[in-house]
Amino acid sequence: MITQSEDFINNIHFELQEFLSNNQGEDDNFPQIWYAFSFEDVDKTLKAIDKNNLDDRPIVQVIETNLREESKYESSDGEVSLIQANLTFYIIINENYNSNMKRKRVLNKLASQLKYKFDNYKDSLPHFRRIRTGLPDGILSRDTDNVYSSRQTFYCELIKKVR
Amino acid sequence: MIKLRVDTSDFEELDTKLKMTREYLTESGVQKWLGMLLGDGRISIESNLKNNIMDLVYMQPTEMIVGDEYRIEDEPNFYERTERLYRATKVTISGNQINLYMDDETLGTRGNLKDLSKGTATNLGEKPYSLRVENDFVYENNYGVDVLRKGDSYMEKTFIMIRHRVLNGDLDPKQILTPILGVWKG
Repeated sequence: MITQSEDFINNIHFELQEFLSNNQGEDDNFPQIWYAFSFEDVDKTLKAIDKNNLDDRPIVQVIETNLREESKYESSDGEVSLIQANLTFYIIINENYNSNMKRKRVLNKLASQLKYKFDNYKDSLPHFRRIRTGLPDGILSRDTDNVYSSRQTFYCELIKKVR
Repeated sequence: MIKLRVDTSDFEELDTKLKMTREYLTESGVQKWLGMLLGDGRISIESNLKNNIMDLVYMQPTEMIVGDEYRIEDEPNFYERTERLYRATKVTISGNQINLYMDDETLGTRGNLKDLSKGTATNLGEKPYSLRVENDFVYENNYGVDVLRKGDSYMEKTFIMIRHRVLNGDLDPKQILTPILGVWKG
């Protein structure tokens, strides 16, 4: 399916946010999350959670690490281009989220659930083709104030209307 | 006696055509391989560089020698950082080369200069921010003491990692030729 969106990159985030924030089927056990575009979003969300202004949920920050326009060609809908999108997902939790489990186990579980969600419900993302979601790379990072994160890669292709 | 005369002019033409085809295959194959290094999700060298910036610059302790004293700032504070360095990675293909670099113009134009300097050193203009973080950098702090900030080597690590993966065959140029070889294999 060709994405017609003028605001192409924000639209990618919007669709991913919708996908991740909503249950996609009976077996989708991925919990409710906060979606973040930028580091500033993460910082503000963590502070709001800390002040009990927001529910304590994992934050999923999605960063576009490489968007590449591979080729342009004519289609029945006019000129389109193939975009190869490499995104990185960071799952971020604080020390209180699911505090009865070790941080690494919590992050591994969330990362597995995230991958499961994409692998099994990718049809809910009709603009995204050839989706590949990696497993976490094993690096557990700790920020100040006991914030923990894991990283996994995400690859997809999009057909974009040339404007 | 039977004489066989062979007109070799066609051979010369064939030879020329083969050379041209070989050059075309080499050229397009290299371009395709370079494209794969840039865009394919399993490889994407720009993504590798960004991951290394995250791991080595933002998430690792910063080592310093202040005067004669060794110090370490071991409080990772990634989410309090700006993402300038992260966003300044650039990758281009020109000819048969990939250029992976830090765009100091991008670094210099995002946010204000005060944020970039993060200190009172007077020699910050001598080297771009990206190099000051990559390599060891010496500056004078506001007490007049020389400080050596240990470099994070994020670019060096990316280069070594990519070279290692190419040499190991993880980023194999032969992949590009596989469909072509398949024609002769039938």
